[in-house]
Amino acid sequence: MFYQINFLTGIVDNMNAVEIKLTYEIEDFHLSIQAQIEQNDRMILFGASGSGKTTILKLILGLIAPDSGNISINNKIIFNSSINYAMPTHERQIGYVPQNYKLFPHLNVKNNITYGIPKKKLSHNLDYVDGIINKLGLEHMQERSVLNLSGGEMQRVAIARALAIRPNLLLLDEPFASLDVELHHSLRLLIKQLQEESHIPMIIVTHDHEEAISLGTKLHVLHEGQFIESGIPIEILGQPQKIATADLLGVENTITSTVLSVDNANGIMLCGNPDLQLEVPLYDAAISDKVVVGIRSSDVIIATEPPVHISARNIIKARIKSINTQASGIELICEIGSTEIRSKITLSSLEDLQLTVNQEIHVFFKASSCFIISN
Amino acid sequence: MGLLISKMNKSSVNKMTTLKFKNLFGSFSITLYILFIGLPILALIIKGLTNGLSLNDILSPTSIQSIKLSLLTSGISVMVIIIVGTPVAYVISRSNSLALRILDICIELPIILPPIVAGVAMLMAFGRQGILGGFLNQIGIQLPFTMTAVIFAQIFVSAPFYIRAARISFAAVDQNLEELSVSLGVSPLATFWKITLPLTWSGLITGLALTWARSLSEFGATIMFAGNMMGETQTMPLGILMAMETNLNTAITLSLVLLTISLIILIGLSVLSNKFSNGNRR
Repeated sequence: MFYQINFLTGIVDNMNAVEIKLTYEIEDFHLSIQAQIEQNDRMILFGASGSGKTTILKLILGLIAPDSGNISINNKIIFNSSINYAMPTHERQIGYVPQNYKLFPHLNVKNNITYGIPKKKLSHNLDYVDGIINKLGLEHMQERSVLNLSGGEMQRVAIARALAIRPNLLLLDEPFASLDVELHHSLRLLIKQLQEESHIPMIIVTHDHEEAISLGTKLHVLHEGQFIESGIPIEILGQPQKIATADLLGVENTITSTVLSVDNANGIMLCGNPDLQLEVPLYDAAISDKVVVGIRSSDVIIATEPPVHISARNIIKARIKSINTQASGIELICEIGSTEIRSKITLSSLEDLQLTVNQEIHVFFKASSCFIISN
Repeated sequence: MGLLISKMNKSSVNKMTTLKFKNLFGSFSITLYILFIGLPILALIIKGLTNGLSLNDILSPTSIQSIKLSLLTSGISVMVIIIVGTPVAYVISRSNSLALRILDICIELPIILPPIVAGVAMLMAFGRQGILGGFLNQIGIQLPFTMTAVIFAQIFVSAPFYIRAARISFAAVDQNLEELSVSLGVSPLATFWKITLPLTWSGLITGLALTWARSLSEFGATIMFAGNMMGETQTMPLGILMAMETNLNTAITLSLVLLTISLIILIGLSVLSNKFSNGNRR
């Protein structure tokens, strides 16, 4: 044991990074990744389904064997293809919370939680287990069957069960996916708190960008088995550098700006950057906070004359930088200084308005079409 | 509106009649089937009682020996089938390989094979003139016409029932549960004991009951491969046949004893299976 965690004292010994470098091939799917996780990291694996997120977790757990690479946790080698070593899964001490929790149906809540603790060691671990049970608010349901739990309760049992083995690393597979939206906030807080108190490094698989930003300290965008972007979640998802990332986010326009004023009475905020000002729905942000405003290109309307008598709150003078034909229609890239706004129009609109590159036009969109991706 | 309601009523009336017809037809078939199965058994019991169940018949050395032999051989057979068949069933249930899929089909072959053919086949393998039998004979092992042959015949014929039930039960266990157990530090073998077995008890026990009943009633393969020697290879079914030739009452009495033993095993195991599946829900 390299370190001890204690929810009461929060004392943690020296901990080193988790290092992962893996390749894995199956049929025409090639996975090749490299990542480092520090003691206090909550690393997000962000990607579409089929991008290989769960496969990565199973490779780390040793449930499937990588073709090559190495994994070490706290300088202890878990897997190393060059010395032909793979530690058996049951010796790895990696906590795993799968997407559908996979609670043992024949055991009650308490026995599910203590499942991974050998019977002989249980008496020495009672305080630790009770600490986890209290932390997760499961005190009153210890004797209950896991078959009668709500989704949120099942998840907390699954997290408790994974923590009970004093893991060196905790893997959470889509923790928000099968949970009601009302519970997202409390789960987010819980995971953050658990990590900050236990200092167990975490890998969290998600395809939800809001959760990725609010929960992650580090993020890798996984696309077809490769990390195409890595870094701080808000930076990556706020201004994705790769088309695949933007596609994942489904947002064609992301405008980095600063909150200029907050109008609580009307439920709007004014955000701006040197190029433009935007009226956007109220968000939990204060004046001078940096925010990323997202607008879908299909919500952006083009007018050759300044539109009058319309309800849209954002009317911006711009210049057409390029006109691109896409399968789904025409995409105009409009320039306002160094800020670009993409607009999706139909071919007939393009012909009716006789739009050309470098033409001065007005783009406009409703305040309610704007949303804050991050703050 | 009125039309709509009358239409709706009509269709629901139609539904009702279909339902009634189904129920009627169903109950008729069920009654017929119960009579078909129940009448012979009832007849056996009535005949046994009216002709006077004779304790002498049950306690005669011949009967006692065949009862003992049946219980002993079927008990050993079932044990062997559990010990060997369980891992086989588990491996097949967890594999996608072609070889194991073919093996799976082979395992079920004895179910469709006439037992008498199984007996001939076993003689061809283990008999004195058999492929392996010659060699076995040389080193002083003689299988045919021994108690071991009785057990061989029972295993051959009845193992598929357990293996099949076990394979289906194992396949129904979510593999992710096993993986999760291993991730929590429990070895694969211990996981089998702590997760897989508790989740499959009732299915395994059902298979066990079928296999046991089939072992107890084994006749064709036994008489062909093991012969019909009193005290050595004469199990209850063989004993019943022998008795039939001399004394009908003894045959009826022995039949009732075999029926009772089978029922006790079936009921006992289904109680056990229920207990396990209830326990699982706690």
